[in-house]
Amino acid sequence: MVIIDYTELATVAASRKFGEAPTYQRKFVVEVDDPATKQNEIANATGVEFLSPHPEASYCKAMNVSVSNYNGSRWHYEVTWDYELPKQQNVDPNPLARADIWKWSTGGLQVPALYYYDTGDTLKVLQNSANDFFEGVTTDISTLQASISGNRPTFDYGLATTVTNSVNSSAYLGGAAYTWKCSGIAANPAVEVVNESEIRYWQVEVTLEYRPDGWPLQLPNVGWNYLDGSTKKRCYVIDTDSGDKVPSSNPQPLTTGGAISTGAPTVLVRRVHKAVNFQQYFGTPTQQ
Amino acid sequence: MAKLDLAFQLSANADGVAAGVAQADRELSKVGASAKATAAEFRQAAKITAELRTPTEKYADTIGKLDAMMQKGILSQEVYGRAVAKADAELKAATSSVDDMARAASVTERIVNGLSGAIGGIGDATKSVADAGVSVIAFGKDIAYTYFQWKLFNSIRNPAGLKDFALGALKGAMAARTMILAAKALGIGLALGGGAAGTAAAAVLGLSNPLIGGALLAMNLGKAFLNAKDRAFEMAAAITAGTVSLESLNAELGQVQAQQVDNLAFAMEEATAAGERSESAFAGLADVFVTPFVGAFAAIQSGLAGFTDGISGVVEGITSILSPIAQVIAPVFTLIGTLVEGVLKFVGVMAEALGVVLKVAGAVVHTFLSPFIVGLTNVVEAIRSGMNAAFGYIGEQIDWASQKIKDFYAFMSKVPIIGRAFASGEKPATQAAAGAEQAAADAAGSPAKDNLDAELEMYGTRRQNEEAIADARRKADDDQAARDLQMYEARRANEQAIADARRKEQEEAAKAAEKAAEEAAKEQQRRAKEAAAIDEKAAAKQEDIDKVVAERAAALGGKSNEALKANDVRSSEGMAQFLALATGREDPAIAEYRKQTQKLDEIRGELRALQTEKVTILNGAGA
Repeated sequence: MVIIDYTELATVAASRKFGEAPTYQRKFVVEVDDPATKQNEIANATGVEFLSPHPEASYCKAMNVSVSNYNGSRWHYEVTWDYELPKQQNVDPNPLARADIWKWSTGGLQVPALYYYDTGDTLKVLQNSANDFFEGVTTDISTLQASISGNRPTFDYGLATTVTNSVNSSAYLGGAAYTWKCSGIAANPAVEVVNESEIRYWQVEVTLEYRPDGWPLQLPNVGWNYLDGSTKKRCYVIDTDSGDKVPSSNPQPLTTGGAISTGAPTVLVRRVHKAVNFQQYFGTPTQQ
Repeated sequence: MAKLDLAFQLSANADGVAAGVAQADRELSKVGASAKATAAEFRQAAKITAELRTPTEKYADTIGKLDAMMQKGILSQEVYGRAVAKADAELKAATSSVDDMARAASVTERIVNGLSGAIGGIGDATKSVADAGVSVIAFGKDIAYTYFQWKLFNSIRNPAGLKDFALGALKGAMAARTMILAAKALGIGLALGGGAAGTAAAAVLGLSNPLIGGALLAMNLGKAFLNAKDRAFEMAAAITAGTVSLESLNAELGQVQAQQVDNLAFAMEEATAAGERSESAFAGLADVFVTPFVGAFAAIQSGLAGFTDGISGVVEGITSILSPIAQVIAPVFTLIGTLVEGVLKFVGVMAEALGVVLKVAGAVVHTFLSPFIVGLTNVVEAIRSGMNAAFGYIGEQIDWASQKIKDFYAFMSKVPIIGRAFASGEKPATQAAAGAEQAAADAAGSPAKDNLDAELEMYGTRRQNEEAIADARRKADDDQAARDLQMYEARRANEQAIADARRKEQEEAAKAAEKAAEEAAKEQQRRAKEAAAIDEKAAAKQEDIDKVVAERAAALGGKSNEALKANDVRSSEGMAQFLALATGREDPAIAEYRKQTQKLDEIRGELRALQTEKVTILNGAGA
């Protein structure tokens, strides 16, 4: 079972479209002395292997190959190589050696519109002429989502659980602490054959979400009860007509000491997500 | 001479009146105390009697008063018509029950029958007394005629006395005539008021001439007495004959017996108001005088009968004394005449005093006597009985003395020498006259037997007179007993009627009180139920109030278990909550609290209303 000879056919197929990567195709006829010759030996008999550059366009790499009988002869085989432009620069045949792929997208969150930009981009309170707020009016704030795709030989789901819904504990990708949150981690098993070697791995995809005002909750410091000394009592409001204390129907503002207060409540900033080192877990985007 | 006879008659009457009034005054002083003590009872009885009057009786009284006032010209025809119409309306309104009318009429009929019996007895007594008075008057005429003869004889014996007599008689006749004409001119006639005015005039004239004053006083009093007697007699006769109607009887004497008792009982307690009685009451009260003076006149006439008997005895004694002594002691006659003159003057003075007494008595009677008619009548009748018994006893003693004198004359006639002087018995005057006549007869030759016959005739006449007097006394005693019985029965019937009325009133009052107590108990139970229902309502409302108050207190005192819902201020809900607090927006609980407070106020108002209602129920009339 020896390769007797091969011949590149003259038929050349090439496809180009504006704005898209070109594709090429080369066909070879390989003559063997034994019909039982391995297909892998027949495909590689042409001197072309995966990721081999095209003789005319080196940026196109051999990405697909197919072998079939040539005109019905059992000792002649037609080998077709398709050349494409690889999406990843310096793509490595070893899937585990390939760099992660970062994909980005932006979005928005609806928040109450309390401010507006006046002339000269002066920020002012969004109120009517009687200084009442427009309740229910919302606006959007921009968010950024990053999707990281990478191949991992293993998938640690415990770690994935830990990291999921965590926020960055320190500045990350230009955002302050607690502005990035891991929204989710997905992992799918994959297998490739490289140099006739079977390589199994996990295609992991991580989604990160960036919120400029941070992910910690901003809650009004209100409550149904207040602290009278060390005794917890029902919050009340004062009836201006009678001066009587009336059990309130809504939570009332509290001071930092827990006493009942009046007017605008203070805002409690409370981080409810654990913070992890995103740099450690997700790295930084590579230039492709 | 008629005027002179009347003067003598009335002088004698005045003397009897003075004695009777003095005795009556003593008895009245005794009766007055007990009468005053029982005045309240009289008043109470009069009230009961007045209250028991039926609407028909009231109507009859009212119509009788209206008729009397209209006849006197006090009321006009128009006013009379309206008053009668009003009385008719009241009668119709009051006579809703025919049974009440019939029962009341029965009571009235019994009372009237009792009064009619009593008045009939009084009328009979008055008539008998009047008959006796006629004989007394006749006897007075004899006395006057004898007195006139004696004065004429004395005047003949003394020409100067004749002149004085003639002048005095002329002056008296002229003055009497003048006063009568003046009284007639003034319209003061036969009524007692006119008599009183005439008495006053007589008292004034009597100051210048006691004889004239006494005569005029006696004349007026006599006219009043005679008028009263005539009216009482006519009334009694009409009642006895059944020709008097109930209304006229009430108008004449019914008011005196019942209504005036009430009025005068009021007058006793309200002496200051006694003089302010209405003109109709005075008119009725004037009629009251008729009744007492009938009794007074009867007493006087009865007294005069005894007085006349006494005078007859005195005259007989004087005659017996004067006859044998006249020829010996002529000056004694003059002395006796002077004594007689003094007695007459004394009578005149007593008559004047009587006038004063009568005025005082009139004032007293005006105020007091009317309520005491019944008691006074009894007292006077008792006095009369006592007096009659006393004078009867005295008469018996006089008869005994006369018999003794006869025995003395019989004994002395047997004494030698002087026995002849007593041979004519106890009739010295007759003896003297007989002596004179014997002397004349001797001179004329008449027989002595005539003297004896005349003496026997005089004796027989005196016996007849004494028997007539005894019969009259027995008849008077029988009549008195009958009147006492009738009065007793009438009083007893009246007391029985009052007792029945009181018992009925007490029974009705007890029934009414029992019924009122039962109704009050029912009312109390009803009010208690209402109060209990109100208490339940009030308790429920108070419970509601307490519940709300407790909830409020618990809400404020405890702590809320409500879940705290808060949103990020960067969300719409969170920002709305933030802005509500920041802008001082009123909590909805305040509005709810105000509604609840208003509801509580309403409940409290309802609670107060219930409490007020309960207080009203428990403290209401009948509670």
